[in-house]
Amino acid sequence: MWKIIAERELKDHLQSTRFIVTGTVSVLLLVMSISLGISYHKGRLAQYEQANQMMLETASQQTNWGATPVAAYRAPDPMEVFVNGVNSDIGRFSEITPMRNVRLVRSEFSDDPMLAVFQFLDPTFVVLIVLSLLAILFTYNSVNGEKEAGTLRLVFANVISRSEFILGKLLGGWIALLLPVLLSFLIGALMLIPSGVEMDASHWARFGFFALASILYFTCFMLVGVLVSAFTSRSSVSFLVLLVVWISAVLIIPKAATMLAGQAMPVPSADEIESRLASFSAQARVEYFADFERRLRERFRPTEGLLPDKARELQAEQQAKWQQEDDERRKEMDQKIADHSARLSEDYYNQKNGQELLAFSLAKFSPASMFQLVAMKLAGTDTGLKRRYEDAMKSYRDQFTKFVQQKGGGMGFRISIGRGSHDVKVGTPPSSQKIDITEMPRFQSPAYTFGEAFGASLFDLGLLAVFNLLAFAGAFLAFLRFDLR
Amino acid sequence: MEESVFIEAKGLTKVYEDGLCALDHVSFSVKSGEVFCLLGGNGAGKTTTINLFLGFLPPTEGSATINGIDMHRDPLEAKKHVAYLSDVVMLYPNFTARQNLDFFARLGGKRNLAKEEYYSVLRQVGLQEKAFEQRLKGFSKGMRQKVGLAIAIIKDAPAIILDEPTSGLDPKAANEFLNTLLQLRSQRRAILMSTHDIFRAKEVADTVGIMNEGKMLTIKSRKELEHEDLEELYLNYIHGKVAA
Amino acid sequence: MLSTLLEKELREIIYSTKFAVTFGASAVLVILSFYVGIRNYQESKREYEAARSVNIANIASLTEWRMAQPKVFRKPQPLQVLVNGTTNDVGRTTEMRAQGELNLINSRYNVDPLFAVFRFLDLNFVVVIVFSLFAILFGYDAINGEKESGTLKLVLSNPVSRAEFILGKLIGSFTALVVPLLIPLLLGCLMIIGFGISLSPDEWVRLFFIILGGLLCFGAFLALSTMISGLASRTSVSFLISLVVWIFSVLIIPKGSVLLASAFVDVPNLDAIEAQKRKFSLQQFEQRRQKMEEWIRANARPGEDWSGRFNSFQDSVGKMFENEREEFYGRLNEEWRNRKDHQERWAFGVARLSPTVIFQIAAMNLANTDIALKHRYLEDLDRYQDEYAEFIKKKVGTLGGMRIVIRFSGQQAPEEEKKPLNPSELPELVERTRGLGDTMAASIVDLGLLGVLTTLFFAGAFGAFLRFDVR
Repeated sequence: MWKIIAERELKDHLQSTRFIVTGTVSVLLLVMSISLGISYHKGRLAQYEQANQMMLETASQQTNWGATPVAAYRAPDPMEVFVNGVNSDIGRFSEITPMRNVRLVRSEFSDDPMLAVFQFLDPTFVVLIVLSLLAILFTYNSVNGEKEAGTLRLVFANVISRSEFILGKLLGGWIALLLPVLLSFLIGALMLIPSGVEMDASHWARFGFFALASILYFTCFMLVGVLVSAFTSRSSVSFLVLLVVWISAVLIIPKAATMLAGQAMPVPSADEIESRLASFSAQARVEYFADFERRLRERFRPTEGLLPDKARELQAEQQAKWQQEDDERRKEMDQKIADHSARLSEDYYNQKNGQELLAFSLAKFSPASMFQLVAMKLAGTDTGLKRRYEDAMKSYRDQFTKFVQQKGGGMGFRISIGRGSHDVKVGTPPSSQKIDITEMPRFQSPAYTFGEAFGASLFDLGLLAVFNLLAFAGAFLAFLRFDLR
Repeated sequence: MEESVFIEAKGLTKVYEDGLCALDHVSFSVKSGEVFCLLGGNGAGKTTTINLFLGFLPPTEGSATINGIDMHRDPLEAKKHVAYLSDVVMLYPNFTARQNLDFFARLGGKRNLAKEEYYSVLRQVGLQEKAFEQRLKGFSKGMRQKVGLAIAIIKDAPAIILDEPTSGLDPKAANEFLNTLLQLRSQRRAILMSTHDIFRAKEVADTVGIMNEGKMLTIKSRKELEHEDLEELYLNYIHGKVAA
Repeated sequence: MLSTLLEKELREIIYSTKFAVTFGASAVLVILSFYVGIRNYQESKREYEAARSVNIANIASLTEWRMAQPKVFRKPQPLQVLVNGTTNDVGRTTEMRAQGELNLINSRYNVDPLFAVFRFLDLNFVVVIVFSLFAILFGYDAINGEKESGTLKLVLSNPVSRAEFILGKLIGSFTALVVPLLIPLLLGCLMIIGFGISLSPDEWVRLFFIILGGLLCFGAFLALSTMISGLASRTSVSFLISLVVWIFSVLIIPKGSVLLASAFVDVPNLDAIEAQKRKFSLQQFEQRRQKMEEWIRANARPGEDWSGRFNSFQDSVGKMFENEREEFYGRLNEEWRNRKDHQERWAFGVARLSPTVIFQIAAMNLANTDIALKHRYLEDLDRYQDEYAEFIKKKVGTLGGMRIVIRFSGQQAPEEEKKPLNPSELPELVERTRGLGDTMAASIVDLGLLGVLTTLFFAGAFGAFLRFDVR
């Protein structure tokens, strides 16, 4: 019996103007968003390669490793075609120098505020807004509309149970909605293959799960639509209720959640942290130099009044010891700064993580945020993206610093002034030979494997599925109690 | 004055853009104190006739006049003399019965009526007292129809046009409705109504016009009908057994 | 007659559940957006003050201006929180240097990607998404809905002309919907005062125009959907059309036009420009080193005033190179800027097909959070950099950059020199926010366009109804 119902529901949808118009619109939008995503990804890739190339070119002109400007760029990932996430908000590169902390700067949106104004039209956005609206549009009158049209009573004049009816109805409607989505993802996949976007197995798997999450997401809205339709007697009322639900879920809850979390758990601003770090290290340096001066004075004291030759001899004797002492002090200072900075940033990140946890937990009242979070985590364009890159860049910076030290590169000029003798030399780098950039360690983008992506998104994916089950149960029960009169 | 023609159709013809001839040279007249019933099946041209009489459509040929005023030439003036009850009477669901009445009364030129006056008209059409100040949202079809009739009455126009007024009413409500109609007739109003309900038409009509496929097949007065079975006559005309 | 129609329209809307629900929702959202905006402003102001005071403390702990690395911060503006525009995308912090190109870093979204995920709920968002939807919900069945309920025929059976009816409808629905919306908006303005945020008279005027623009945008959608209602005979059809129109104008046209513009209008890649700049400054560095070497060779024997002469030599070389650099960078920047402007004009030109975009552009201009925000602020910074350079020169004697300070034994700096710096001596960054005149000039076209569009849709609705098939 339910098969007849499902078939009728499917046919009814497929023949309606509503379906043809909205289905076409969503297929067009999804396909367009994927193709725009592909062209953007390619543009970013070209920019990335060009930037790297030019950095190496400039570096190869240098003669001193210490003066070589090196930057680590974020590599564009093919998944950004589907989920742009915070990709355009996070800085694209960081300068890598022994002197400074790693800092991602120049996000795409800060470079190009024009893009920031309206943001991206990625498939995630289309699914988030258009498919959910579509799901509601198709289900708001699914139960009470049939009552208004009188068909419900006609159907139940036959031998059919309520559960058969509602199951058939849900299945038929679901298949109808699934068609445009599957079709557009299929077209999208077909566009990706010849486009030259390098999708490996992990990417395809993530794409598959993204499609799954999209389906779960709109199914969720469909079920809620049926639920509300079975709870209200008039379709105009159920539409209004659903519109309010939709606005809250898609537009209000996510924003409100993050802002609430921001106010409930304030985190000191990055500027504040940076300034504190700077002040601490400045203080440490001042102390170090004061100590250094004191040591110098102590070292010169025994030579006071000695003949220059004698003094030089004495100095030469002590040279190694002094060198060692200076190095140790210097290391101590560096360690102290590093410790402090690690402690402070650890603290900062803990606070931020707490804030984020609260924000996302609150946001998960809405299936829209769940879907968005799942999508971003699958694509690796979630808020963790920044942290992952910063960590990778930090370790690269350490590696690079070590390398530069090995190569004996210092910064700038070395001016040595012989004490007592009246000559000043500007030291040129040890050799004016061009550096060999092939020796340079290269920055490796942090790996974000399918396993990690899946692990990170599994919980939310599960939550979305649970939400679906609940909505399904709700719709089912609501219909069982529906007043057929 | 006694026998003055109030509603008149002269060679009324309507051909739609798609070439469909909905009305073909229809002529008839309704005098004050007369009830004229347009009888016919679906698509006979009844509603088109009414639409022409209310200026909702321009006629292709001929004229529809109310009190001698051509509806097409001077619609605003002509509409002053006619009240109307439409076939779909949903009215404004968020207004109460009285508010609906009030709005249309004011459109009809009746301003600043006292509450009691609304109530008395609502009572006259037989609406229950407790529904007067209720929103129309919860009203049944019959209750809405009554409010619709009250709207037609309160305008106090010398001509009343009713489009399928009894369809969907239960027998009791239909009877009450017809009684009200007779009251109006006794107030010497010219009443034009369309219906496909032969029995009610026979009960109330002074004159019956039978229409089919855009043509007025025959017009019979009550006197003429006394000797004939209207139902048989209607079916015969519809099936072309009697030449027009 | 018109007044009767107006009154009926007003009542019909205000008595409806649809109105209660949608008005409630938008009132809550408007007030929420004001509240969130105010809290956000207070928060960013607190952050701004905190960052500044840490910065000042840092300077005060030093004893030499030479060592100072002051930072300047972009000051939060109250209207920015009502219309975010690009303000959260543009960097807020700049490390001050007397020479060299300045950079904006630490944009809000870069620092807190958490907020970038869902972005903020500002007034602009409420107008663009919620108001427009609200308008469509009331407009889509304005005409054909009355036909479906039979009231249109009833009304027109009275001596009411079509023009009167449609005018009553449009004016009535506009009044019935806009006046209530003014209540939460005014409440929001009162909240601004209540929370002790002081707006300058200029800012009040700008806020007024933002609200006016929002209402015009609302009016445009109301008239547009009424027009659609007059063109389609069934409400289900006009609803579908209105919804598609809404999706396109709110979601698709703005994004699509920008993306298309950036796909079709080529703008040189910023990283490539950056690399050119880096290459150039490395060349300069090398040239400078050579120059210095030459000088030192020529003045190999330090005399009494060696240090002073060396410094003044450095300054003159430095100035020359800085001028050269500025010219080179300026040329690159301008070229890029021109191409970018072209692209932006193109993108926004297409995007203006949508009334919400027109509103958004006008609102951003009024709040000074438009796409040129970054450019304007950078100009302020450039001006400030000159002031700063002069200050540093006065304090340190050189322009920084490559400094070599040589002290010979016996020339030890006297102890009293080492007293803490007074940060208040540092010149203040003055942000020359656009004056009211400039702001209005930048937004008046869009506001006017919005007005024209509303009138056009109004006339369209009018025309559509005159030809509407009443049957």
